[in-house]
Amino acid sequence: MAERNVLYQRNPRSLNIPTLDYANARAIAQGSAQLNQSLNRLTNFISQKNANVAKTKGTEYGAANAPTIDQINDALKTGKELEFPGSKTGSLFDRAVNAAAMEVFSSNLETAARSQITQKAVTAEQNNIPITEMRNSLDAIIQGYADSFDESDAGFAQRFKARMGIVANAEYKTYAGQHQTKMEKEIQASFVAGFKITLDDELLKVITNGISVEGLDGAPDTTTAATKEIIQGMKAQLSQSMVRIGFAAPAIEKYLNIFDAKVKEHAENIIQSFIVDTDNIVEATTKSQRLLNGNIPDNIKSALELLGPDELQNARELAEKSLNLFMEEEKDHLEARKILDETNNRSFTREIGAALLLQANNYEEGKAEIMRVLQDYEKALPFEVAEFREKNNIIRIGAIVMPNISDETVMAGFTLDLFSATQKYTVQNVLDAKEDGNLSQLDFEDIITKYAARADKNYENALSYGKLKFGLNDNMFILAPGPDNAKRINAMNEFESAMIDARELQPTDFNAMQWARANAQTYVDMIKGDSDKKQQKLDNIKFTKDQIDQVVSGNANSVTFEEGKLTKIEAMEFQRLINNPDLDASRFENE
Amino acid sequence: MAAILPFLQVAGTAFSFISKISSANAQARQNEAKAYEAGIKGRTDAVAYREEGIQKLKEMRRAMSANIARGSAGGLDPFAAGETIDLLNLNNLSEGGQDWKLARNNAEMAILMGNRQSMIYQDAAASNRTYGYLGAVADLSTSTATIIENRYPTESTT
Repeated sequence: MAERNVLYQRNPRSLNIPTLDYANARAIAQGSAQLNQSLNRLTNFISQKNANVAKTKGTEYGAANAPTIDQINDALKTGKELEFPGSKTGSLFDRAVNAAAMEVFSSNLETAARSQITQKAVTAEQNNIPITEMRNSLDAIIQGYADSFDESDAGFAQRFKARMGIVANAEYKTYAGQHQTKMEKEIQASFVAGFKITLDDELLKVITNGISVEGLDGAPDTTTAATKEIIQGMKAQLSQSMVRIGFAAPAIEKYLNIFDAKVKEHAENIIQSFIVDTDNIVEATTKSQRLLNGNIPDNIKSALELLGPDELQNARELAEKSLNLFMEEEKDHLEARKILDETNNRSFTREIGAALLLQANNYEEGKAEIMRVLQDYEKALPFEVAEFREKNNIIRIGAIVMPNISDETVMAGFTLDLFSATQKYTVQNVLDAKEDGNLSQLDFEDIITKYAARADKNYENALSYGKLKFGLNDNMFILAPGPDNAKRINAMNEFESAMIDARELQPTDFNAMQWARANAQTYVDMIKGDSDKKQQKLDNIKFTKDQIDQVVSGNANSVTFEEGKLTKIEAMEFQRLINNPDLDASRFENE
Repeated sequence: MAAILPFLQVAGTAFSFISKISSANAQARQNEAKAYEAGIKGRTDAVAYREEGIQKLKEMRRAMSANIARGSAGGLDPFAAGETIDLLNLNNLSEGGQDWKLARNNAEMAILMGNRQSMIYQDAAASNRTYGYLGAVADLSTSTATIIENRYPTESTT
């Protein structure tokens, strides 16, 4: 077989283009990405920094230009809308300005509102404003402030109202609590005051004027409420009042116990007083017996009904004890008085005997000593001293217009009884007269004032000067304190009252004598005016002194002379005018 | 402890900067090495392709020689134009020449692309340095500003 021709075998390889690794692009991309991150960080940092600066500057500007408290209050008064710097939608600076302004404004607004709320609370507490009015006032304050910027920032206004609402509510709650407590305390205080009056006054009256459960005929009276029932009613009413006012249960129980105790106390006192309220032992004993056998007045019977069995027994025992004590005291008193009288009697007898003996030797000294002894024992032994005075015809010596103020027991008596000039009054007499209701408070003060004033020597001298000016002397009052001198004594009283008034106006440097010299004549003129009328009357008498004496001494009621008819009464009056030492009756003497 | 914190922060920033520069340099050097290797590889591949072309020429010559030898042995004029042998060898010459050209083109392509790859790596190295340095500087600036701000607060931030 023939060999085949050889053919060249083609290489299956094709054109081979190596693939490129674009490392540069990758490196650039990677480097750029990293650089971008770095630059972003730097840019962010700078941007943040700039933002902070803008925000800070904006905050400063906003804070500096925010509405002040005065502007807020002005806006509140005028109703004008407030203007805020910056903008909510502008640049960062504008937003920061607005935010800071709103922040400061919020603070200012809250300060102003809080101040108003606090002030309102203080005013409300002082004026005791009702809580509803307080609530409305607080709401009005908040609404007023919110309205001032409601249109500028409604959301902020709502938040402000919500926040201040909490503050106002807290203030309101505090005030409401205080107000409620205050009102309750006032009502309770008023109740307690009324309760005391009820206990001390009304309750005492009800029990004192007691009505027994038993009628007058002994059978139960169904028509008239007895004291026991009235008091039960008072107690129930009291309890209801306390519940209504808001007293706690322990307090109610306490006051009701006090009420019960007071009822028993009043009842016991009335029962005891019934027995022992007398100076007469016999009467006291009789009353005690009546209490024991039940023969007692209706009010005492009702008082007994108010007591429980134990208290009743105690009251009776106490009454008996009081009675015994009273009798014991009276016995002791009598015993002591007896011993004292005996002692005084012995002393008085001895001293008056010595004084009489002294009088026998030296009349003046003895007389003065007798007076002293009588004065010393007048209070302790009034009957014995009076008896000695009567027997020895000794008139009491007591300065009436001019009391001997060095003796504290002596007191002027003319204010008490003008025409009892011979009576000498002591301070005790004045106090007794006051106590007995025979002397008004005004007169009492007048007497005590005069008594105190007379301790001043200068004042006493001024009174002596006045006495001379009014033509008064002690004997006149002691021996002849007749109605003719009433004018003088009254004038003297007025003179002294005026002097006391002047003295009170100048308590430190008042010169009584100087005042008396300056003013006495005014009061003398008062008497003179009266004397002038009498003098005129005297001068107009057309009858002679003999004619007048004839009619006075005669039996006829009237005698007709040439001058006319003269009645006996007229003649007696003419005689008094002629004999009046203050009038000039020389015309009749000449006759 | 609080007193040394700023110093630690400064030191950390400095080390970070140096580290980033070093990192950029390392990456650049890596790419430079790759550039060198890419050049070498291009040339090596070109040599291989040329070897392949020569080998193809050798195979073509062996085939043509074998045909001439067979023709001669078979009584044919191996060099007569237009005869079978001539036609076969012309065909072998054509195909062998194409393979040789292809190998030569591949060798040229390997050199060109190797050079190109080398340049790309060199550019990448330069980019590594450029962006690495810039990034390091940017980070250094940020850190320095932060330190300065923390250390010396400005009026506006107080």
